[in-house]
Amino acid sequence: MRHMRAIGAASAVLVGALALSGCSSSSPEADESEGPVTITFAASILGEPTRGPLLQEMIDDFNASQDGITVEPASVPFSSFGTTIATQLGGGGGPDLIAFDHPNFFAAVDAGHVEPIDDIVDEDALLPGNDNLRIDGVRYGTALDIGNYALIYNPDLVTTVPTTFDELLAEAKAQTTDGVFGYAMRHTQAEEAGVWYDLSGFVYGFGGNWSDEDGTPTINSDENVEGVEAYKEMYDAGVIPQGTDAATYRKMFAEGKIAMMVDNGGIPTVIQGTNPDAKIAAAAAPLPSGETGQVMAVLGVNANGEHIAQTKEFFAWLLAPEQQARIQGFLGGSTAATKVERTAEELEQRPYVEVFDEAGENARSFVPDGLGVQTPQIRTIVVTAVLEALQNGGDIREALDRAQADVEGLL
Amino acid sequence: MTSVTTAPPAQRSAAAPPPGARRHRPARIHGSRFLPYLLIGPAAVYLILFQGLPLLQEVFLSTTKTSLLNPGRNTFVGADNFVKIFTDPRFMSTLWITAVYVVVCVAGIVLVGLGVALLMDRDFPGRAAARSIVIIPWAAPAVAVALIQVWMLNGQYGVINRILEPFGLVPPGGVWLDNQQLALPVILAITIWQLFPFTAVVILAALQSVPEELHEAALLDGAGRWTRFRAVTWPVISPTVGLMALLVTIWSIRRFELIWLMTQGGPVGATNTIVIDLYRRGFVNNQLGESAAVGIVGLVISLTITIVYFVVSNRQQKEGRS
Amino acid sequence: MTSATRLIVTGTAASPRRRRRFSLSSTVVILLILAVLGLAVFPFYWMLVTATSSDTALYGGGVQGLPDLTRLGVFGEVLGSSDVLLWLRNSAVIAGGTTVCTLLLAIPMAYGLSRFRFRGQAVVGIGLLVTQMLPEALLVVPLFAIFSRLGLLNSFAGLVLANTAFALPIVTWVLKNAIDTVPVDIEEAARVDGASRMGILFRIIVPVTAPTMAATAVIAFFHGWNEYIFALTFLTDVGLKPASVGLAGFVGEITTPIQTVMTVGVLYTLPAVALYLILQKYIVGGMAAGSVKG
Repeated sequence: MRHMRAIGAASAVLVGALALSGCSSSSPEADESEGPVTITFAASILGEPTRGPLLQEMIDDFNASQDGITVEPASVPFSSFGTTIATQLGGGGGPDLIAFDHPNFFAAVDAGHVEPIDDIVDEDALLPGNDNLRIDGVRYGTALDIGNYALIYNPDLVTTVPTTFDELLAEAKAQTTDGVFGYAMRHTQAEEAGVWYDLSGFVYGFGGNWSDEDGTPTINSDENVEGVEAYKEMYDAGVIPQGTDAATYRKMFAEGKIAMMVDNGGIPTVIQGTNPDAKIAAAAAPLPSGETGQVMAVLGVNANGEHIAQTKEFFAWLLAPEQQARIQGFLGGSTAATKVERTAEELEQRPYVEVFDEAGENARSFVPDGLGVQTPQIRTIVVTAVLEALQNGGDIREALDRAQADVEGLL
Repeated sequence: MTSVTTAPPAQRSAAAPPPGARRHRPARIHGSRFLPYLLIGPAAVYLILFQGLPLLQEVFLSTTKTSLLNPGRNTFVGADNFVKIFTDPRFMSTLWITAVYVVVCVAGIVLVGLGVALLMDRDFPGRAAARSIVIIPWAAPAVAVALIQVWMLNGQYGVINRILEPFGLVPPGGVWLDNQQLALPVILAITIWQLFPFTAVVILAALQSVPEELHEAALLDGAGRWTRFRAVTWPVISPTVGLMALLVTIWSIRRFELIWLMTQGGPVGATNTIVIDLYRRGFVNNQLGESAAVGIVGLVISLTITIVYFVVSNRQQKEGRS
Repeated sequence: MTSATRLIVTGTAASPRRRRRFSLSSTVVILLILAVLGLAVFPFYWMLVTATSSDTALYGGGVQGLPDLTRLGVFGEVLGSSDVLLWLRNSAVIAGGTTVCTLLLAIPMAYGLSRFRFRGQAVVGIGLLVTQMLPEALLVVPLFAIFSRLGLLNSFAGLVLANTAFALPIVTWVLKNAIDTVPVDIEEAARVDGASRMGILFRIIVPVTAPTMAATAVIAFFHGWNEYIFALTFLTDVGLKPASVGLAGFVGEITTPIQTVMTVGVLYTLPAVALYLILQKYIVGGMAAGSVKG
């Protein structure tokens, strides 16, 4: 009798906890035979103010078009997307359909968390950017969007478009007057992933690469040193807004405070979303080799998911020509996974898309060949070494040599 | 638990209190022998389940090479992770930065708190309001604090630079958080700003329990303000201050969101504390084994500090000082 | 949150307030106090200013020092168009659940630790101290696995359980020390009068230590309200997102609309501060430290 109260209290906790769990999940978990199956779709683009709602509309249309499947967004914020998804996958959970950041995709495949999708993909329809998403002859993902990099500039400020690196540097210096910066790029440790893209852009632009075709790291190759030194020159020239993150400097561009930047095809759309009157034009990136980077969000099916068949059905729907055209419609300068002809209307409203599409012919992904699984770690090593040299005035070649040694030690 | 000073010396040395009012009760006041276990049981089981077991799991993980994407697939590597981190000069730097962070935080938070408490320990109009207002930084969520501070420190548009510009105190490029020399001091300042209200309010409450008579007696004896503080005030509040120091120490070692959201441990590791390092190794680089090893090191350090604290505090008690 | 706190059990008979004459230095003191308060509050003031600033005010040249009261509508906009209200509701549920759960477990444990000597007592004490040192980042992965197996992922219940585990040690510690200060005689008298142990616990201990209970309730509530890592990792449903994750999510790759961010920041901070202000009378009383008369 005396212990009853204590036991009563303890059970109250348990009951409370169970009750809470009852009023938690907002989606009805239904048996496959009984009603719509709910699948979750995680893509950081869903959280974007401009393009997110458009993708959501597509999802709503899919839900309305049939009764068997309900797709719900699981919008994980961009800044922690990779780590959150990885943790959930590792725990045997995670959303059913995931738009991976390209560098995180390969580790997930390697760990067995991604379901092969050969049965729903028509290989011939896919753009070359999707090639590296075939691993050991099996297709694991297709791109949600492919963003090629090119020079984005404000035509009101820049009258002569630079075509070489030296011209770029000179133009940037000329444009940097009070309140306006000639150039912008990511250069802070807090944006490591972004720095990797921008840095790689310079490296590819000078003919460099982080690995060769066999997957041997070539971090400290001569071309790489040249490319990184160009990045450093830009950093030291006083033409970029120091310490500013991409979100801020893209906003600055929209306000006419940045003259030029090399960024991906989706950015002009985003900038115009901020400021519809923003002046934007694009040209090929003014670097010697003509090669630029290519960023991708990769769609993959969670192998741990409970409703793989339904997830594949939704995925296949997204790959159908009609939906691909629609996706391309709101992506702006980026492309969808398959070749979609640009409409005349689009070309008129957004002439810069042609520049990005052309850049796609010489674009290379930011995941070094053969080193997909270790890319996040390689990225940390290289970016840290370069930023250290930048901040402390160190020697680039030495920094890259050290990075090479560290990466070799990793493998 | 009971070795922490909870009663001022005056009470301890009082004449032996009558039985039944002893501080330590007999093993059984009311009835059943099982009652204590029943009372402690649920919470103890709870903690074992949700903290003890995970901790053991982490200890195990620290001896393996494990990927975040596959926590169940472990390759045993023994002490390799520990060797790896201790031979990494960057980890030594991390330890150093953690030490600096903790020490400065404790000193700053306790001293500023003490100062503010002493300042506010008097009658003035609006005293109650002041006490309410000062607590606001502590009551605010870390995520909100991180975001507003990052915005205020923005190199181009931040209000801090706008205010400092006329005085010429703006750092190169206006950059605070991406500056290797300034990042840690800035984080420290913000941490101290966020936590000093807590110590201030607690110490203020402690100050109010200093017996008025003692102050008056000291005044009559002609004691100056400093002497009065040292002889009258300090002995009474020093247990509280000591405890604040311990708590702040433990919290500093644990602090995560503020630093991660502001600098992610950068630039180039300038604000990389143990917890940040642990998080990056585990969640950005997918290396759960290394992450666990770092965590265990951090735990050992916390434990050592706590043990030292108790030993010192016990010895002080024995010596009859406050 | 200090174990050196003593509840002023006897309640009213506090020592008479020290009365200082207003001396010359008092103006300096007042100025200093105002400076301290200003420093404490400024960033939040600035949050409000930024939330109500137009783009030109922010990105143009000058400094807008005061909130633009004409733009207070931004709060209405944000509340109407985004999920902020949902996020705040979720945060409240999580925080409330954490508070209830923590207190339900902590009160008996604190009472037991305070009033009884039993085998394993030292172990429990040490355990409580050690668990206070564990950072959440360290345990998130094993906890994720545990909740996954229990089917508690993506639910408030799981999150509440995790938060409680981290709030429990400190809350128990504080409560235990508060209960220590309550003389046993009261309980023994009640026993003599025939009260049951649970009755004693609830009818005597809890009311007497109420201020400290309020203080620890606030601690637990804040813990749940502010918590980030677990919420980020365990919850995938958009509908379950709390404000901490929602706000942090604004640090996005693409445009961060700073006015919106700050608006959400204000909305997220206000309830926490308001709660503290409402309860602070009790909290400060519960935190009173130092010697006790009786």
